[in-house]
Amino acid sequence: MLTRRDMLKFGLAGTGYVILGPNGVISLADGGSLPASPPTTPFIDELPLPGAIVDADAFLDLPDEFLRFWVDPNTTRFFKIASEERIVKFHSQLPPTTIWGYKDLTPGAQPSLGAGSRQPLPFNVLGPTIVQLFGDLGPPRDQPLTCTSTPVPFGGGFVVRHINCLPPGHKGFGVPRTTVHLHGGHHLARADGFPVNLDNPPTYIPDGFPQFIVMEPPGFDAPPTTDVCPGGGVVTERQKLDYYYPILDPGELDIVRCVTSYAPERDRGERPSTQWYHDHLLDFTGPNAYRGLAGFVLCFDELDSGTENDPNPAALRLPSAPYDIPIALQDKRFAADGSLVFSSFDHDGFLGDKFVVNGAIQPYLEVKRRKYRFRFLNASNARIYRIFFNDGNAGGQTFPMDMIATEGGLLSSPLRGAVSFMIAMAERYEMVIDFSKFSTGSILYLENRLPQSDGRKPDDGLLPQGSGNKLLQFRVTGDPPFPDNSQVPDVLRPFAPISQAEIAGALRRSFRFDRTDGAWAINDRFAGDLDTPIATPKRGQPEIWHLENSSGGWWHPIHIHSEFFRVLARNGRPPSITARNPVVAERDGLARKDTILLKGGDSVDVFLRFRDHLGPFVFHCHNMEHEDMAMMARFDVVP
Amino acid sequence: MITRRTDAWVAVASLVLAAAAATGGTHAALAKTYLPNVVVRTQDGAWVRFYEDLIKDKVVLINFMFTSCTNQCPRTTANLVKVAEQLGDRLGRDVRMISVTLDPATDTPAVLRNYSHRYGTKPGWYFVTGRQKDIDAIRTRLGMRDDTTDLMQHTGMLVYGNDATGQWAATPALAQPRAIVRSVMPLLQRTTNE
Repeated sequence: MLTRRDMLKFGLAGTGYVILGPNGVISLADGGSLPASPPTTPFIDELPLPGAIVDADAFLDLPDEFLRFWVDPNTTRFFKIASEERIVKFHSQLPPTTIWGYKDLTPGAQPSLGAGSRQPLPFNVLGPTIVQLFGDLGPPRDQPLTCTSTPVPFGGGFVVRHINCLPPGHKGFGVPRTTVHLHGGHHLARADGFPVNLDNPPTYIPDGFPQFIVMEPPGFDAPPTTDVCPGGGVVTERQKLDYYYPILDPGELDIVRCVTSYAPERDRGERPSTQWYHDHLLDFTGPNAYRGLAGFVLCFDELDSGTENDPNPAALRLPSAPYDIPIALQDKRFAADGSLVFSSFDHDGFLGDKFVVNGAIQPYLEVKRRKYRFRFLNASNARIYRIFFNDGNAGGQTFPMDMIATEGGLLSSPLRGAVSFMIAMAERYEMVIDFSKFSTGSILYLENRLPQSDGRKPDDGLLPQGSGNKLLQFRVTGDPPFPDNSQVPDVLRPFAPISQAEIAGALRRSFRFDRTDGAWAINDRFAGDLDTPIATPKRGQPEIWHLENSSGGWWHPIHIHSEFFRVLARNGRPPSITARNPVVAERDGLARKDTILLKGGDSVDVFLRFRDHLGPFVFHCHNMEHEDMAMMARFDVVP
Repeated sequence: MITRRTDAWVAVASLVLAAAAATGGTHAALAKTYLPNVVVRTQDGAWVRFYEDLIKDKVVLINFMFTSCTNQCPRTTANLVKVAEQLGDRLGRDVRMISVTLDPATDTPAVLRNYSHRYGTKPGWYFVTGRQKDIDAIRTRLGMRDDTTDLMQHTGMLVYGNDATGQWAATPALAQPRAIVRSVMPLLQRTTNE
């Protein structure tokens, strides 16, 4: 048997490598199962809340294009985030764990705090939350837009300087090279986290496309910069990348840039939503994100203003901080020494046996008798959840929730009385839960009742209440200190479905996600060729993409970058709108999506119109192991 | 077909790397517990230990094929020939390519040798056969576990990785040769830098 001394001797301790590398002990790929994680007592640790990002001093050592087109030091915000190796706790009874995480480099940044207590916690896994008020400081939204032939910097938005400070001599799963995808936005191609450096990037992108997208680890042979990694060490030019996120309404840029190939309109409803950022390196997104490279971005506007006491009559006054809480769901596996366990050879999708919420295993949250807004993100590699809000008892009670938002922001109107919802990898759902109905001292749970023993797809059926995976415990501790002025109005952010005329005029494309001889293919073409686009949609052109999963044995959540899409049909019929079991919130006119689950044999028709941002993007399966096995294709938005 | 004859290990010795020879028994015992260290034969008839002699401390590309497969395998092998060309003199020095037959009963070392000659493969590219049970172990440990008797179901993926650092991934074996090389190179550079 392997001793601790042997592990140290071979440099394997604490890397997760012991279990999983080729020198490992056992693997799921062996047909057996991985050893179980050490036991942990549920609900003894508080739910962590990642700290909000802190503004850095303006830095103007930026690419020329940024200064020419985008950045105004007076209105643009600046952040610095390092990817670093750090030691955190996932549970008070587990030994410390070495992870890779995003770190806010600006002095004064707060690590994770208790979501209820606001006290510092050791569960410091998620990156800083980027909170952005839509249009904040940038161009005012109430002024008409005019075409201007001379480019002037837009201002507003934010620059994130991402710096790769991961250990260059890393051993074990994951690769210390990184790109960062801000998932859920409408961003410049150059800031989209393309998975690989392109030899021949398109030349028609006005603000260019960097020669090197991938950030290399420290020690790469490149000129030094003035930045320094958290542990010391001068950052080289190839170790960092500046990402600019303009935070504009879709269509806005096309108007200002005098685009005439279509009639651009300002789409005010699109941006405010729950987004996230994570590593997107080709072939290694799964292990890199699993090691911890993920964080939230929350975007607000006048309607969804983040203030439940907002005097503006237009404001919706949804439950707001500290009663607005993002919830990142992940499943992970741990060795006895606390190190993360992963299998690089589990090509179907890696599953954990510990349920981690915002970086803590099965935490609790003390709540007041009032309404809360929970922003759920499935940040797991391969696990799909179906979540119930209940008393946790076999044969006990299940309580309804109000669904208010999905990936593309607020629904047209809330789906009230949702009994459960299914959330696939990278999807987001926002639920309002009203605890005022419960007496002080009540104990309640979020329970995942969807069994899944294989990365391919969930098992059939549902686990009985009380026998599922309890993810989070709520403890109702009493009345709130102030009256609950929040509300869930009957109308949230209404928008009309795509018109029949536009549907009739749309260009149709079909993408079949298939498995051929054990490899993933899209339209019979082996995926993974990112040198050439599989499609070149024209800017502004209405398109309908038929996405089809022809393999019955696997489920695929498909994510399309750059634009939210409208779901016109699932399996040939308009998607149902129902608050029954489970809630389906995908139909156009109700919801906008950026990730859509294709169960075995499913097909969906989605409407898309790529605006503003030209250049290479990707769409892919968000089962990260499928994604890493090249279930991904490039498309280029062209003028 | 393959027996653990003492003289088989003489053949093994010609392929054993200095690093592998220098490790203690514990490491070897460990290695056997994940990637099978089963005895297999190359196209040259040499008996080798699959993990210790072919993979240990190396950057490797591993795929599955069989010589009687007429549809995909020839395309895949031809694609990998292009990968090998682009790897240049790194093949054999820093990188190894390993093609494991799924049909060991047919694909004897001689058959594999003919096959490799037909494609003009260079040193550093090993075609491997062995006992069915050992081949199955190699295949499932590398993650090709589709539950089927259709051999084709295991021919599409190329597993690549750096054993020294423990970084492994997989990509379609028919992906663009340039893309495959571009994926493998960063793993390689890290080896050569150290």
